[in-house]
Amino acid sequence: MSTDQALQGPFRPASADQGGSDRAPLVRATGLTRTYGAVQALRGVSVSIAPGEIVGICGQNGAGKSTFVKLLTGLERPDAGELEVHGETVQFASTLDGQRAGIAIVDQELALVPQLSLEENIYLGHRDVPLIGGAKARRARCNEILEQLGLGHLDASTPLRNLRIGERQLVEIGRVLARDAQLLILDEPTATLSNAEIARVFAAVRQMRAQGRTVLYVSHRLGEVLDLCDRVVVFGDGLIRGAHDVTQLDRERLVQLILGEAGVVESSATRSNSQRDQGTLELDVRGLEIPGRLRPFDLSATSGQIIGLAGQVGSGADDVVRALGGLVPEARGTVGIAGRSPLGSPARARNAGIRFVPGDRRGEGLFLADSVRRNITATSLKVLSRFGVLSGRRQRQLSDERAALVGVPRTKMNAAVGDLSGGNQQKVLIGRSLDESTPRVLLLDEPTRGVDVAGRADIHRLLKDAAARGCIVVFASTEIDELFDLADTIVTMAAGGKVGAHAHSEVTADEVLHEMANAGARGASHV
Amino acid sequence: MSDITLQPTPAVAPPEPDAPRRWTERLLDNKRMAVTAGGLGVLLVLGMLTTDGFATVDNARAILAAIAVTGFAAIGATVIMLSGSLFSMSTGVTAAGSAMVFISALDSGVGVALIVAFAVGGLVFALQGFAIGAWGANPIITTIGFGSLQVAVATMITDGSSVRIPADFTAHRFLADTVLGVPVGVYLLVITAVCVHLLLTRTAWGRSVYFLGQSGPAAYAAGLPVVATTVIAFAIAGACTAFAGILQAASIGTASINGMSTLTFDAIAAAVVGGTAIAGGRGSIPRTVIGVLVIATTADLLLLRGYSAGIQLLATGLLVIAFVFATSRKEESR
Repeated sequence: MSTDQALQGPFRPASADQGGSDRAPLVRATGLTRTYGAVQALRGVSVSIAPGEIVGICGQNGAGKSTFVKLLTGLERPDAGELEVHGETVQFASTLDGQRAGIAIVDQELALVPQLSLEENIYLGHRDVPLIGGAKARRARCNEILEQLGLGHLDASTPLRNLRIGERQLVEIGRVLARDAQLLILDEPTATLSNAEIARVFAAVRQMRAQGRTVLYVSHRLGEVLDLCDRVVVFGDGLIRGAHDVTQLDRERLVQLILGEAGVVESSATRSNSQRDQGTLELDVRGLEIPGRLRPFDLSATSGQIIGLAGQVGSGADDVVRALGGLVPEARGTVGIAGRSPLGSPARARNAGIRFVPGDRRGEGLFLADSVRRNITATSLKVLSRFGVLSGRRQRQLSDERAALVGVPRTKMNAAVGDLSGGNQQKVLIGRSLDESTPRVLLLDEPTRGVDVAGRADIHRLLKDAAARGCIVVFASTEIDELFDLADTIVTMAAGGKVGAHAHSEVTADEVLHEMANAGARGASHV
Repeated sequence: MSDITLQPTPAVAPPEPDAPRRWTERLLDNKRMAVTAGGLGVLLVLGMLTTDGFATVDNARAILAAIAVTGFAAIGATVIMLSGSLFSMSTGVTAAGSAMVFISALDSGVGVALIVAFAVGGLVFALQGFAIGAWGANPIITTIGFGSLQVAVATMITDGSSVRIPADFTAHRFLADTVLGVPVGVYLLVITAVCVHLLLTRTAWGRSVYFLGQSGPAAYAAGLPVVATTVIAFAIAGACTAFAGILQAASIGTASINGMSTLTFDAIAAAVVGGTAIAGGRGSIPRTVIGVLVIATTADLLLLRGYSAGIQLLATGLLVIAFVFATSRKEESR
């Protein structure tokens, strides 16, 4: 199969330099092609990137962004096409070669070692660290970097495990700063950050541009892209759909570019409260508490309600969701769903009618090497079997049904779920949770983290449909847009406690942000 | 709803999505199995070409006779490894202990002795499985600890001596017999391998074993019965291990607690050479059976060519190291 595709590279002439730039390029890609199995991830991508610009990389999941980044860093090699750095053709055999050429990446999956100190993490895998010596200079540079990222209050010898996830993300960025890279790739760097932390990342990125370095900013958060970047390159179907200066773009135009011809998203504003069946399921949470992390928390909801827990990292919003999912053994309190408590273990939570979709879908959600078919039915083994014996036919039926419901393409049913895009992975997880007709409590931690615009709209609609069928949906999110798109009731949280609870129609984004941030400032002092 | 889900159109038409995959495709997918089976083929051809007396019926029987005991223990090791609990370091001790129980209980009849020995092996392993599954105990430490306990108990009871089957006792002999020139143990091994394979591939428990081996945190968060799955995996492994000991005892007529110390390593080696991922989640019983055959054939070849037992052990060790190296590199690139 690959001969056919390998030929495509050369046949797409360099004139198809879809993402051009006037300045002498730092990096120039010509006709890059990459195929995985039957999927053509890149179909001849040509682009030049100049020194000293911040380039936004946008596109849906599966559009080819991640593959492009992997080729740039040397993590993978193109099937065809050429890569030039400073005008010289390069062929990276590994990420080390990429590093030598001055290309560094901050990945969306954290790649730090919790047991090591901040300094050790920042210099982990750094090619210039000698066996002995240079410790003082490193410590000084390390403190400088921490200061720049607003982590100056932390000692460089602090073990990383003492940091919160948002702070860890900043350390990850610091690690790339330490490499003195010419081209820095940030892949969804703000997914886990609070607003204050995002501002620090932006400041650091702008400072790098001032030093003449180039930054590639891969993100689904269009607001951030428009705010930060000089130029936006939009990927679609393995090609570049367009490259534009941000001055020529607004949010709508960008969404249009990303979605392509099929780009009509159902307006999320059409809220159909009236259609909702008023079911009977009730969730009653009283005094839910996690010693040291979450102060007593109350919540009650009935069928059809969607509750959004608004909170920055460390606010306790995700702790509530995890505790209700049975994943926090030390959680205490009175929680009742039709008389049963979910606290203690995930198995108990399931029996109480909870369906939990974790925020860390690769670590805690999916069985990455197994097929979509097996993953989407993983929690329904009882339904699939009689006397413990699985029925292949029933598995096919049920998995097809669920895949169709959540919109995972039928062609992917036998693919390893780890090879799917983030959006499709999340759909598989949600499909797995919509398992029976009886109403359930759906719990989600960051329902659309790392999911593209179209996938996001799909997932939001799925959750609304579930609520309309009588489920209770409770989700934690750091994204204000998502909260207002999805939730009937927005509960603001900060520093491990509830701040306020508002009906969707009675509160503005500013008020919610204010509540999240105010108490957030109070919370920062206890770190 | 698919109108807003954009997927890159693959240039090559994918196979019909709903068609169940043909067995040839699945075989090709199992690259590791192909490697191991290919290795076995090479060994066999090499043996036939270079070594006198290799391609004889007698030698084939000798190889088969050698695999029964290791084979049972290897099936046990595979189940444990697949479930993500690494391996049991007390396989040899439990096999020997079960054999001693079997011999001691022979007075009450072979049937009773078999049941009691199975129960002891299964129970001892199931307890370890509980400690590992429910409390998250480290499998290596747990099984080493339980191994010492078993040695201690056996030594206290027997004062460190071995137990023998009375010379006039014959009811157990069928276990050491041959049918059509092939040892009974080999038939039993084939039957057991098929049964355990079906359990692993066709039941909810088996599916949970693979899920658990792939990702413990994901299996736990999904609310799968982690503890029950682990305990059952260990119980089955324990019963298989016990039977390895029983076969050995039936053929040599005696058992002592330290008499099967090499079995632990042999069982793990067979599973690893068969391509079972040490961290769990990938592998299968048929692969392990091929692994057992590879090791037995290698040992036989070396024996025929007059190498010492030390060299044989060395070869097995190198084989395991080579496989761990070859397969771990593949896993990383995944």
